[in-house]
Amino acid sequence: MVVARDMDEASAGGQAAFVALVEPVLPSAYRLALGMLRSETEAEDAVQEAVFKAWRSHERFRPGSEMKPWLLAILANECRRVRRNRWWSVVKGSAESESPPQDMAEGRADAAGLRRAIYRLPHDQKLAVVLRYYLDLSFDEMAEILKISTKAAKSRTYRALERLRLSPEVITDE
Amino acid sequence: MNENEIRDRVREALGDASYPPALKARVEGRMREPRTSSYPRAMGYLAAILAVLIVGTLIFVRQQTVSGPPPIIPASSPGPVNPNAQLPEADLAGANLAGAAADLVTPFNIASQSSGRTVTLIGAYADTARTVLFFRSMPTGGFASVQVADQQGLLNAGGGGGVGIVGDQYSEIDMGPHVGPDGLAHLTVSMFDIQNGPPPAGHQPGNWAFSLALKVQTSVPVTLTPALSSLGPWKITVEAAEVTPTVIHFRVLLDGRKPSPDDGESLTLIDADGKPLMASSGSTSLATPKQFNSGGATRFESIWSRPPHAATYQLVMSVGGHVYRGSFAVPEPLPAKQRKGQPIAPDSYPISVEAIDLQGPFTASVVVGHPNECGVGAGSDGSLFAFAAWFQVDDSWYWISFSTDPSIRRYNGPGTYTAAASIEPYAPFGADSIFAGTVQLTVTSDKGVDKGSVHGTLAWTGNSTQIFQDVVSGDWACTPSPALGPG
Repeated sequence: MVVARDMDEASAGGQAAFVALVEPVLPSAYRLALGMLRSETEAEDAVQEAVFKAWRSHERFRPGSEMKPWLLAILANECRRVRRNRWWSVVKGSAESESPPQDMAEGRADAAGLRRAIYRLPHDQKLAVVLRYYLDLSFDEMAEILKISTKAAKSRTYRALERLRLSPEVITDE
Repeated sequence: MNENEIRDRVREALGDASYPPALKARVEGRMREPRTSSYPRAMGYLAAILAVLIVGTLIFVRQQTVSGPPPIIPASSPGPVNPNAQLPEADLAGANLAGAAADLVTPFNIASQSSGRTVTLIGAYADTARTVLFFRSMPTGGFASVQVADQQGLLNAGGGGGVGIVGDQYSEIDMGPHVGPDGLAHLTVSMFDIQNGPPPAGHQPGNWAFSLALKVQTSVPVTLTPALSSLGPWKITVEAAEVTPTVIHFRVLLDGRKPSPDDGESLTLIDADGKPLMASSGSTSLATPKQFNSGGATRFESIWSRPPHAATYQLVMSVGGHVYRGSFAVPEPLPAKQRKGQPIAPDSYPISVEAIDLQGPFTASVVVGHPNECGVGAGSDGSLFAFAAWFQVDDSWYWISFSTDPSIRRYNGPGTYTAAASIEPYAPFGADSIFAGTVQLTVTSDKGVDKGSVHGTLAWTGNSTQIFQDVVSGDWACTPSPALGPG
């Protein structure tokens, strides 16, 4: 676990020490960015930018805190910024030769349909799904990144799953 | 459904990708920025020559221009504002059309008005797999709804888009248009809703329409080895296997039963290092049932960005546990159009600390600049003083320039002068200015480090019935050197 007591060493040792601190978190960070942005290039760029921003503001890093939730929170904001800078909407008309997958119409998404549905989720709900089911984080860890209570993290995840029609029997860290 | 099942479904949906080993090095590289640039002396001389030419052009433009709001271009104007100007690189890069592909983008200047707002189609690109349209409008930002049809009907495919420089957006459709008898695609573009920002911001309904004839770039067919004709119980028809100037495109039909969610279908490209490429778009749809047996067919389609060099890839198609692997070669792309000179990257110029504020439709605080003009020089009417610098906002490069006008008052030392001013986006071989006007340029020192202040108003140069103005103010500084114009 990388905690804040190492940060003084990072401050003293400069950028190389800081990179050494964030390095163990980079695989999780890349996975989060990839899950949120769908593009390898954008994911790499977002991680770089997030680490850069973390480095610039590392004096705000609270003593006793873990590096992972702090960096992932910065990265989540960076992903939101990247997404906002895109805009979408090519309007498809209906045509006889194409129709939505039947399973989607029945409320059961196949892999491609689920992927599209996840990318259509609002940022906060998509982030909850990615953190929970793509990064395997506990609700406590999610709460720390999202800066909300554990109960709220669970509730946000539940709402996202309902929207994806992946109704959970129960969601728990147990 | 329990959490483990949900987890499996989400992972299946989002896919997986290996952690890029070079990421740590890239992170370290990013943390070292901004770095002090060094640049070859020859490049510096070239910059000086370019700067003198630019200053001369500014003076000429100033002499020819009647002050006032920019003219309103009528509803349909067929040609570009400046046929030699390129679209901003930030616009092109977002649409994967930077570099050599930039020469394949046709510039347009087609304005359309609706609901009191003017939208201008400034460029377009099409090949057999995709269609890309570039728009310019103020206020900036927003999410546009776009529909595109050719002479055979609606381009009925998915797509996306993004923003470029301030005021610019692009829209992509994952389908190429049909070519008419004259060898061109005749496109009808409708934009009927513009959101003023990410939801929940309000939106502006309207009906902006554009008609254009566009060359469709041809593709090179690729041959899969071994051929793909069946996979387990499915008969396969490869409808498209091609490389366009910008993308790799596959579209295949599975004739047989519709794959179930448990079949886990996928279409993947693997590069020579065994690394999967992330598709830039992909879709699955039911195809016309009548011409196929077994009650229907399923179409799979994916597009990947074309590499900037020759390469060999493996196409992996997996359905219901049956896997096909076939290799194919992507040829070397065509070289970029030959032009005189080499482009100079904005960050090739040394950094200087600035304090220039832009307020208005383009709001930015320029604290780091890369001046490429600095100091006293001679124009056709006598001495002038010029300052110009590159700066970056939201990953896009812009150039701001001030140049005193010797026809009004020759430069004769520190003081306050009327100066022509403009802001241009970066394009390797030049772009049209997006803001222009006059400012009061105060030079407090022209020895050693040149410095002073500026205040004035610049008008947006795009087509509009409204006037959009930016106030520019603050302090500038630069260090003259033989590498910089205009002296």
